[in-house]
Amino acid sequence: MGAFLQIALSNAVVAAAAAPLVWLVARVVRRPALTHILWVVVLLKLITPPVWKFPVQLGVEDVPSPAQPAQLSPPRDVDVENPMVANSQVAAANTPETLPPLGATVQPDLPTANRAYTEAPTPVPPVKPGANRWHSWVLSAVEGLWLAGSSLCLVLAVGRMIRFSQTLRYAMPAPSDVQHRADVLACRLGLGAAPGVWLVPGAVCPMLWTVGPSARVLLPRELWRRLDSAQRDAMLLHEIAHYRRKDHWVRWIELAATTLFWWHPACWWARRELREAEEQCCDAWVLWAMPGGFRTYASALIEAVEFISIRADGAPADYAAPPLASGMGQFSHLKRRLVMLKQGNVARALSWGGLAAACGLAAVLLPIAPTVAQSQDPAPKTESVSVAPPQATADPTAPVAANSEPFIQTDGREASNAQYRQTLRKLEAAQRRIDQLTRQLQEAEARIALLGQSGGGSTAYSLIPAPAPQRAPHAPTPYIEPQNNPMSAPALGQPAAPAPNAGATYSPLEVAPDAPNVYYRAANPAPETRSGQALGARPGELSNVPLSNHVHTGRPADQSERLDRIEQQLKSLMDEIHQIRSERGASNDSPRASS
Amino acid sequence: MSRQPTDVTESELALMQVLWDRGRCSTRQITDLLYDGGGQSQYATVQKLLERLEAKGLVARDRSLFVHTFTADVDRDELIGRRLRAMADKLCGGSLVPILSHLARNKGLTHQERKALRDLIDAPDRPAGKEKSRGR
Repeated sequence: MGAFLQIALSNAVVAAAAAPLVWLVARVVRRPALTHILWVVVLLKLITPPVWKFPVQLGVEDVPSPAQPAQLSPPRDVDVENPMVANSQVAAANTPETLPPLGATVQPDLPTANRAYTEAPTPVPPVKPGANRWHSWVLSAVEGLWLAGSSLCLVLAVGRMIRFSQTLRYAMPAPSDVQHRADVLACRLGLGAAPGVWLVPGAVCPMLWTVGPSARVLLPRELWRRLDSAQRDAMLLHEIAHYRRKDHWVRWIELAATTLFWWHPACWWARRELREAEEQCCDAWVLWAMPGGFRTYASALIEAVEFISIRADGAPADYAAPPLASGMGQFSHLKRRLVMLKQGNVARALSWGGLAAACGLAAVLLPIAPTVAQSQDPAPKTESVSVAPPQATADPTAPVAANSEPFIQTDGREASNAQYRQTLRKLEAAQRRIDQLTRQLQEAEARIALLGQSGGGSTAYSLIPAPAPQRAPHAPTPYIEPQNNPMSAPALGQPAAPAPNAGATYSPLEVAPDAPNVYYRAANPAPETRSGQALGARPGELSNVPLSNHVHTGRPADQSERLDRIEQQLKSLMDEIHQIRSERGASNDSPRASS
Repeated sequence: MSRQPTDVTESELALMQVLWDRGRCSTRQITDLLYDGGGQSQYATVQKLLERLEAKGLVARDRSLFVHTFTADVDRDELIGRRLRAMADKLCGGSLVPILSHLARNKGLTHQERKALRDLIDAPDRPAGKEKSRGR
């Protein structure tokens, strides 16, 4: 979408810049063949994608400074209104020790996962969100209008071609002598055979029709009857010259360019000039093929024009041209042709120099694309993509702080829809991560419970996934109002106990009677945990692992060291969470509320 | 004879073709020719088409007999020519979808303009430069 607009607009700009240049060259050089090929290059430029982009700084005003990427901090600010997060909040209320620390405790141990969590969905910075949204709205409107126009053009073109072909079924091939004459003339122009010649009714111009299986020269029967044989030759020569020059290919280029750039004046301008140059070239071909035939050819030309100026009822009429039709343009155009014919010094084909010039123009014009769209919307997007990730990865140890800091800056601003979606994505990622960790924890819990009941605790420790034991010490922190939650009460009392006991080797059997409420969750589904298949347990059950469990099941010597580390992490995490919470309290009306 | 540039659909044109080829025909005859012994629905279709063509003034209905007969009321070349002309106008240079290479644009010229062009041809060679500068 954006890419289409960018390429198309850059092509349009280049073509618009090239068109006056080509026009000037055409006026100066006065070689229809050269003019023709140059205009074809302009049209080609319109429809071919560029390969080389060079930046042209055109008023890059609202591009954000990279210093203020203002990323959204993923889940924290949005969960207020997001149902999914609301769920997780409920879960958090149930099991206060569990959820909040989860994402945090993972952080030091799983930097990669953490990075994915914070960084992956951050591309669009909410810089000037209002302007951003307005921009994107206008952009999509423009694009829609553009494509609608193009589709309309295409439908019209195809429909008309089909109808014309259908109508041509009622035309009939010219008599064999006419066809034979056409073949002879085609030989003179260097062709093996002429396209089929057909006589058609109606006041139409002689023309070359190349849609369908084979090219046809269409000659109005009535006009054919009026012309003498030399004039007929001239007319046939003109149409065959079109065929010889392969102008029907140019028609397709024209059609493609018009379909894509129906709004572009340079496109229409190029087409008109192209046509004129084309006719002049064909005139030159005709004169070359029948030397001294100026008068004949010119009279045939005027005869044809007179013929189509005559109404169907046979009365010569001032042709009722529609208001905007360029009757005058037609006249001056014809006059110019006649004058050129009269001078008779028009080169019919491209010289080597002309070809080189055309190739040079094509080589310069076709590949380039000024990235003018920088003043448009797409540019800020791409820029932000390149800016945001480094920001996120810059401080992997404290991504939460890094994220929350800029968020304050955006506080109160209107967030764009894109932002909102982005945040949602982040939230989903976070949720997934939480689920994953929850499962791990459940597993660990089940094992611990099993140990506690079977007494074989020593072997279980190694099976506990890393994140699980780290979470338990978290419980005591006050950020979830443990008083409100009966579940958290027992856990609250724990932190003091495990620390001194860190080195002690409890047997699980001893602990169970000491802290009966500690096992209330894990012990209840005894059959389940006994079998060691606690994976199916509900998330709410996972967090009730008593701290002492971690302490006494951990036999290895590095236990206390590990505990210290965990506590350290927890401390910093809690600080961060506090900070975030206070921010959230301050900025609850921030981005999402308004979007 | 109707002079308005009535537009004719493809199926109407096929029907006209039968009338041009056969001259006078009844609805049943046309149906048999077009649909090769078609049934009642085809008969109704042809009837409808004939009514439409009659309204457009392209077909004349003869009610003197019990079975109405129809004749083409427009010359074949005229209708086809008109249609071709209209289509060609839309497919030529100044139109939205140009796909025809042609001798000259299908836009007509006024009488004065044609005369001016003729004068230009018939004029001796010398004043060409002058004409040219005026033509610019």
